[in-house]
Amino acid sequence: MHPLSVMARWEGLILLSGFFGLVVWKLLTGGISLDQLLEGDIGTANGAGGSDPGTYVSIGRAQSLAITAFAALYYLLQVLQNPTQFPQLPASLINLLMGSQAVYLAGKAQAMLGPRIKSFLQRRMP
Amino acid sequence: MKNPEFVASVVLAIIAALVIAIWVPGDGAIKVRLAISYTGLIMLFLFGFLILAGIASGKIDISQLLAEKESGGASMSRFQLMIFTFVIALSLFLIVVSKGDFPTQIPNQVLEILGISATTYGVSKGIQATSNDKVASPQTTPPVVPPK
Repeated sequence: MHPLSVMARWEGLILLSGFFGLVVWKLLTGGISLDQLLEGDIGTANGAGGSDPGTYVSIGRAQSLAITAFAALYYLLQVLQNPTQFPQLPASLINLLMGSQAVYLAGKAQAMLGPRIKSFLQRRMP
Repeated sequence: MKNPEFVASVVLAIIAALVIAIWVPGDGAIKVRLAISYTGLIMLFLFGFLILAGIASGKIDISQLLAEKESGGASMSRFQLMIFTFVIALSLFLIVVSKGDFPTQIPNQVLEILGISATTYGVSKGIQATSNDKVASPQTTPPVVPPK
């Protein structure tokens, strides 16, 4: 193999693994905060002008995290088994991922926009 | 001098190019190609290494990488986008290393996975922005004073 290819290979390996390692290290040591990863915000009736909206433990976020981790691990294992081409993922996994994100977004929309919509409807229909 | 590391990396790359141009035997065209390739590789590596060193030393702050602007907590959509970006970057690297060449085509599924993550992030930001819009109320609007 040409020394240029060897050098490019090692360079890519060092830079990618270095960046990956740094991010993982910062995640583990708290350098990148994962606080409130599973907590969703609650919106207020009058948006930014309202009082402190608070948070709640979000099932939507928890299931999204689990399915994301599963899909990422599955993909990585497939590549490690046959690292000559991108793996073919089952369509059901893609659908599962889309459904999971839809549930997460619906939960977030309900929590953040629900009070505003409720307040709007109360004003319209006394 | 503001960035001595940057200047040092450029100087090192130029020295490497000169060494190849002067001392490596062979055809002139091949030497030029080799010099440009090695210079590019060295500069890319040193720039990448400078960024890594900056992140490790805290000079480049990535502590807010996953933070949401308003609440300060970690964002699930950002986290997901980061995970899939890492997984696909790592996969591409492994494929290129084992084949010795770039893949002839990127399958739609890769684009779908990244698209789902990016769309989720975008929609999530949209929901937040809509929620944070202040509702205008007639009581709080200041009266308009006509100019004298």
